Amino acid sequence: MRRPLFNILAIYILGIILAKIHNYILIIILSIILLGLILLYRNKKLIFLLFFFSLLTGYFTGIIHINRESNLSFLENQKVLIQGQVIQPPLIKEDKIEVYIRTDKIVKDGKDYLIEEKVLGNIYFYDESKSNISISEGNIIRFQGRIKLPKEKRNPGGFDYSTYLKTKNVYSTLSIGEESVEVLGKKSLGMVRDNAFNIKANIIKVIEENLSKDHGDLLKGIIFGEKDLDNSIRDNFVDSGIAHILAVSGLHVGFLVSFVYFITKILRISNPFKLIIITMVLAFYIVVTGGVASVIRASIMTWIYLFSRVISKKYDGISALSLAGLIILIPNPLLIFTASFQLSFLAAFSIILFYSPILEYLLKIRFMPPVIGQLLAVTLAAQLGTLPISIFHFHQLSIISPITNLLIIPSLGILLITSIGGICFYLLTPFIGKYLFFLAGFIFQWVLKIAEFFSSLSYSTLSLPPFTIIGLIIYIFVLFIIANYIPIGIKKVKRISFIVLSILVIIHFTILLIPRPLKITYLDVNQGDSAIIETPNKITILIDGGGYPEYQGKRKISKDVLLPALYSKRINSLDLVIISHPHDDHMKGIEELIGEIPIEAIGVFDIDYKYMNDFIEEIRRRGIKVIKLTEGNIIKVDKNISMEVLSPKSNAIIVDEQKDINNLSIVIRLDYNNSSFLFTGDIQEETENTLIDMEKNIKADVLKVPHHGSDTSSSEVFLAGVRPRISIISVGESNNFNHPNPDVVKLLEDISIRIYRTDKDGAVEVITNGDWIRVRHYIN
Amino acid sequence: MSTFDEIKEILRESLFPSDGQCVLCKRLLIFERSPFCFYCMGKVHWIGESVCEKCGKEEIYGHTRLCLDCNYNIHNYHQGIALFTYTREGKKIIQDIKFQGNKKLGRDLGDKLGQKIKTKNWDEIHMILPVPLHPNRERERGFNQSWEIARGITKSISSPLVNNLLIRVRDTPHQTDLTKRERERNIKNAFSVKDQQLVVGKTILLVDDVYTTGSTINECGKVLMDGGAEKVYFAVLAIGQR
Ligand SMILES: [Zn+2]
Ligand SMILES: [Zn+2]
Repeated sequence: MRRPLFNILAIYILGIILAKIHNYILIIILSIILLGLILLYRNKKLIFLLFFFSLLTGYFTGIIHINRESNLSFLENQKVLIQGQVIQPPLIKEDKIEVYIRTDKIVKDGKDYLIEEKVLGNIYFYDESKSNISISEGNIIRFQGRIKLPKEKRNPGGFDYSTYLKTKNVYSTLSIGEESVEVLGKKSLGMVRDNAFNIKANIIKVIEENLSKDHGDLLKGIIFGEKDLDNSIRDNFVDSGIAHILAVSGLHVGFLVSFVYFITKILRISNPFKLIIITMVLAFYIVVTGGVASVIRASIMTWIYLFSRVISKKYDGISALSLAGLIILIPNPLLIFTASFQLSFLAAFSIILFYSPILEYLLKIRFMPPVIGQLLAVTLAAQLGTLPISIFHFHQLSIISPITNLLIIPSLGILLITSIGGICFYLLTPFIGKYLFFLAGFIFQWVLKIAEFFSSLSYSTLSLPPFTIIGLIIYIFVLFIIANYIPIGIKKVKRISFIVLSILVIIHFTILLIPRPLKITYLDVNQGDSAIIETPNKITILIDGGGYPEYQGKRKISKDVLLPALYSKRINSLDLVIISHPHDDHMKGIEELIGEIPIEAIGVFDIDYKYMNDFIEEIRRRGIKVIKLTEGNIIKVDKNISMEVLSPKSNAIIVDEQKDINNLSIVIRLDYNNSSFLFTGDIQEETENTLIDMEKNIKADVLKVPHHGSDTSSSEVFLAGVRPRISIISVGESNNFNHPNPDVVKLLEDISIRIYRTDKDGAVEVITNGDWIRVRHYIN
Repeated sequence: MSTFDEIKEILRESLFPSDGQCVLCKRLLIFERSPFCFYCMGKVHWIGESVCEKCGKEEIYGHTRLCLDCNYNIHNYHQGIALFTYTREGKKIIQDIKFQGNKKLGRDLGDKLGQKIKTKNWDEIHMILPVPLHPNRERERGFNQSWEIARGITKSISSPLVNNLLIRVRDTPHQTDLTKRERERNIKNAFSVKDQQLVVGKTILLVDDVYTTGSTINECGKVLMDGGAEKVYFAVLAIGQR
């Protein structure tokens, strides 16, 4: 076996994944297979035994970490008084400060609970733009806060906040009002961390004294990964494909180590001392960057490399990476589910694999200077390897990033050397330090200019749907062929590769072309409505888009829920969007979508209403078709699928903004062979009665319960008319309206077979072929 | 080798696999099962079927079944076998084993060699003797490449591998720059058998890394035959072209 460590890591990761998807059957099968191999291949029993243990270790450590819960969960959603210590430098965000706190004491109703636990405190600003408090690591603080348990993945493509926080050993969060925070004093965090944070604070002080705000923030971002940057600058970095320099990564560690190595060489420091110095610098860097996986990974690999030189052995990148992976994952297995870990490891892995082959190709180009070839090869290799993952997480691909990186990475190197040099010298002889900072200023301007210029180019990014599994296999296969790891220079290999590839491509396209059942996903958009309809022939319709209330500030439901859900379903344009009625919790999300994703047509009610008229004018200007929907309209959607508009009539007059608009919601019945779905918006009893009086066909298998289950709707007569087998209440967790009404829920329970609530079940997916109906929900 | 050393070796080999890169072109090895990449595998001149019946060289002189050398010279061994020809690539492989300390490469190729020996209709081999290095040289290098190759051979030929029976009594200078005559003189009386009793009537397999003029193998064969051995075979990784 060539690289046992790699195989062990792969099997360990497999164990963790199986734990996450609760697949114990596969674990049993694989364990039996491995035990069989141990008995069968006596001479290789040691390695199979190791595989067996790796699989089980992955599985059980995974289970243990997934099931870990907060000791504070019994106080969920309660307001408590807490005393604790700030254990990491606070991060200042747009509207809050994020701070990790170790709790000492929790007071609730005059009762003291002595619970020690690491929690994430979100201290919201009183005044929207700035904070009035100053806290730092080591501070003992006392405050009032509401205990919250982080949410797991609730929607397709959604962010699993709970797992993310578990990787930081955090199991509950606190919402803290800024005014309640009291600083009681300061305590040591242990010698190593005290010193590291002290050095960091001094470095930041030097940076702030010598650089302008923008340049200083950028340098802090580059050195420590603190994202305390002006928004427009950060957007420029994202759009031009160089945002990765703002997140500490292996690249940064690489520059740092090269810099230290260079200095030790100049000072003629002996080998053992060199090792000690580099080790200390790396340890310092790990502590001040908060122990992020990418820095630890790069540090471990650096140590292994230096060690290989000491014992004069050939360094093997893949094995070193695998060992780093094991060291990082064994104490923290859930990290594999975070984007930053995946990107860091895949980037490193594909640089190891593809750097040399790509360089070989590039150097065949005439007049290609080797340095530029090398830089391009690094960027391309990293990008090719991380492409599937970054599309999966960020839904877009930067086309110009190889070029911007080619310009930025050397500048980054020079920038870091002059700045770190500046910092070091400033502490010794301020004069030279100042001069170096003066020089660095020019490079900062150049970096910012590049980011600004390239982000202003249109078509610098491509929006792409995530890879299908077969698409991913084809992609990797082709990469390995191009990199010559599959030797198509050999005739037999060439023939087999060609056959395999053709078969994969054929399967890929047949799967895409096979009509699938109708799928309707009722998203969990908190308090609000939103449903995605995907027909067998890939017609996509969105009914309502949810929307956060005013007080949620700049948060966008489209960014949080809608776009990730659409992208994860590989939908990158919408054929029809229907707005049931112009209320924030149905319409705001759709307003946010305009310009973010191509929309063919928008269906609205045919009623004269100022807000809607303005909106229609706006979308018409953008070239989106507007369809006025009125009672009696029938829309042919797909083969055997049609939608009938049951309400409202055109030209109704609005008197009461709240109630009348609710009642004028577009009501639609969708039919697919023998199954039917009723979408009711926020209609109340009045419209329900009208529908019955007009003898409209409201019978449906699946009912989207009107008005989030409010008691103003879902009258007994109406429900008796619909007779739903499945009822879905689209409602926010602990909303201010006391939706859904318990009596309504009771009534629904009597009438329908199953009730789903988006506040409890997360998104609900209903799948039908026109005869059978299947339901899947995102939580438990 | 003690268990502790063996564990150390396993750990070192798993973090720094010596077959992580192609021995010849340094390309990263992923799917290959050999220490060479698919392309360099073809560049190594593997010895095929039509070989000299005596020394195993891939060269046949005129209408005989022997090579030129074996036609005109008498050798102190019965038959020999080699894995590849000592070309530019072959030389690189041997250097990687000897001077880069790539013991695993020696063992892996030894394993291959062992499998090849199995296909020959040779008499039953009673013991395997690696051509020894002088203790000074072995201390300097840290290991004896022939011993590693022989270890690989034992994976398919389960005869005892015996150390310190055939010993080097004279530290001879490097053979590389010498002519055939000089080599013979240089190597003369360099070896001796420590315990004559053990070789009497035995069929012995000699193992070395390279066979160029055959002076080393011949000298070893001579001491063994003089000591009363029944038959001496040899197995080497690389054999000269002419
Ligand atoms: Zn090669
Ligand atoms: Zn011959």
